[in-house]
Amino acid sequence: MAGETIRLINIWLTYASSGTAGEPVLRGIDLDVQAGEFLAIHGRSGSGKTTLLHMIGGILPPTKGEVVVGSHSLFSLNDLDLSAFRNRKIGFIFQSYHLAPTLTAVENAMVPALLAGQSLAQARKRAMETLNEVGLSDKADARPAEMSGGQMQRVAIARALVNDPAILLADEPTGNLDAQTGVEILALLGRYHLERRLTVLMATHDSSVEMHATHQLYLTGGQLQPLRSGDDQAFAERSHEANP
Amino acid sequence: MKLRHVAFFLRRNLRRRGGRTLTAVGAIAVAMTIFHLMAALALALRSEVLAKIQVIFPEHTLIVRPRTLDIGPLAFSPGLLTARLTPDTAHRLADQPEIKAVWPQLPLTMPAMAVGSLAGYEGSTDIVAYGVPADMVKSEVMGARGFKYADPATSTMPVLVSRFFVDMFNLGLAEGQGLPKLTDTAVIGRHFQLLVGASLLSLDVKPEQVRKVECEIVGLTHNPALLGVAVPLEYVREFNRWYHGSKATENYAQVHVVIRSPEDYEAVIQKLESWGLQVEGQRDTARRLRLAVNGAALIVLLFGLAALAMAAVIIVNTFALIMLERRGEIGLLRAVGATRRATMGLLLAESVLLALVGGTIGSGVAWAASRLANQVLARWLPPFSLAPSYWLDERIGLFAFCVILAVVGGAVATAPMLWRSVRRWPADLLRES
Repeated sequence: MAGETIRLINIWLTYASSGTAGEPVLRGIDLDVQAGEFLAIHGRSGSGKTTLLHMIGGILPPTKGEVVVGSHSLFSLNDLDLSAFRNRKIGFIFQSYHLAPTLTAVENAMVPALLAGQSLAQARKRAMETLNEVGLSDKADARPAEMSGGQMQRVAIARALVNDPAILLADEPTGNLDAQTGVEILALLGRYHLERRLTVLMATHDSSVEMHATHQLYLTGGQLQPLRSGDDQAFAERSHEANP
Repeated sequence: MKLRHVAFFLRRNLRRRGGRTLTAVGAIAVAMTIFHLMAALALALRSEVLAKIQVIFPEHTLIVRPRTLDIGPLAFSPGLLTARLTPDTAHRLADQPEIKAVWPQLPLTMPAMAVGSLAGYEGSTDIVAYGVPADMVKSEVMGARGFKYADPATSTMPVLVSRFFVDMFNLGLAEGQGLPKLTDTAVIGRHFQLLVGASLLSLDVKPEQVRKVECEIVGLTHNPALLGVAVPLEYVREFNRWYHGSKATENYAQVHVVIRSPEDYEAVIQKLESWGLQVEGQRDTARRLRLAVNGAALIVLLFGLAALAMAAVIIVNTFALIMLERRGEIGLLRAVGATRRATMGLLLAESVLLALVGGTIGSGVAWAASRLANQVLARWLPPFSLAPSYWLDERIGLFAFCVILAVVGGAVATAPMLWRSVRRWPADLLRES
């Protein structure tokens, strides 16, 4: 499925804490992402990158503002339509994988296909194809506890791609992986972006994403700023976090 | 979500969450076993004991006798001062609009002796006999002979024997002399001879005036007014006339009066007492006994419900833990496209399935235990007429009820927390997992 446009209009988010509103995490963000774009969002831990992806994925509403994907204002959709949107249009790769521990790799990858109404046989076939694409067909029957971090992330990518989504949201997909595996995963996502013309949004600390990203932004103080060419602020902060 | 997909997730979840699944199923099974057994006991108490109370103390029946004049330990029935229970009185009673039925009880007014054999032993005993109408005892007549008059010279006389008489034999004579105990099936259909006019005890016997009557036992009666044997009224009338000639009394010893409506109870008593009759009602006794039995049944049932309530707390806690563990799973399902309804349906199906399995096992065990207990108690306890024929209700309906209760309980106990979980935003569930 070809990519979709994404528009964020004056997005604010404040997490309520013990019944009182805390400091806003996102402060009036406006963003336009073109179909087929690969946007990398950098920022310190806790800056709101994950929150932003959750909103675009329709799994967390903003306190104020509007998220428009394609022609749909997400949070004005009812549960049925919003669920269908998440299922068909979005592929979400979580930093901590979020694989169901009771399911095998292929079964985890099947879940969105089953929710889309495919038969068990169709879903299994499609999940096997996707696992094959991410190079994990030999681990199809392994459960998450029997896999490495890189393998689990590949299963999560297979699950995200199984319904051929228009938008791929990747939340620090290399955050829990060693450097070599991280490079491989980024290469895989870059390949999908090019081959399928997906719209990709990736929250990351990883500097090597610049090889694949068409645009890069930096989230700080609840607002998005362009990551200027030669500006290594984000990477410097990342290095500082890694080696304080 | 399609049913096959639900089955797909259920199979994997239940198989791979063995510990929690077993805890939940075990808690439900134990609770349903206890509840089922308590309910079975309460139902047996109600149906068996209340039925016996109804027979022994019929609420709508009044026992009417000639009024007695009590002087110290002696009681007289002076005919000049009180009404007699003549057939005319019985007809007059039957004509009253508040009275539904009148069942006179005519005493055999000469000695009588039963002679028969049992398990190879010959035996004889003096016996009290009453004549009663067939309507009065129709629910207790089981023999094929029925309870009808037929010429005693050419056919057997149908006889109802008091269950208390059988108790006396079983608990006394049989125990003492090592004789086989009598059951209903062993007694009904048995023949013996009634020697009308003969007695082992009385000196006032005319040896030349003894009549042999072949009898067949056609049923057993709980009615305490029929202590001894009861035969169709016409036989007693005939025997009295044969023995006493023109001096034979036609008056009844007592009359059982069945009133139409409980509301007329007091009014009928007052009316009959104003006729010079003595009236004895069973309503208050029956009510007190019923209250006691219902109270006991309620207490037993409350114990069962308490067990159920405790189990419900365990089950809710277990499911709450499962839900807590599975917040991430719920969040993920919602994040990848499961609707609230589908997610709720999937998790609810899981809890309902656990409740169904636990309920079926628990209630099934209780049902089997009830059957076993009834059989063991029936063999182990001495037979006596007031003993319930069963101690724990074995009806399959109770089993079905308990299974349904477990399923509904499981759904009701888990639905609110499931609903709270699926209503939350997936990102919040994922963040907390």
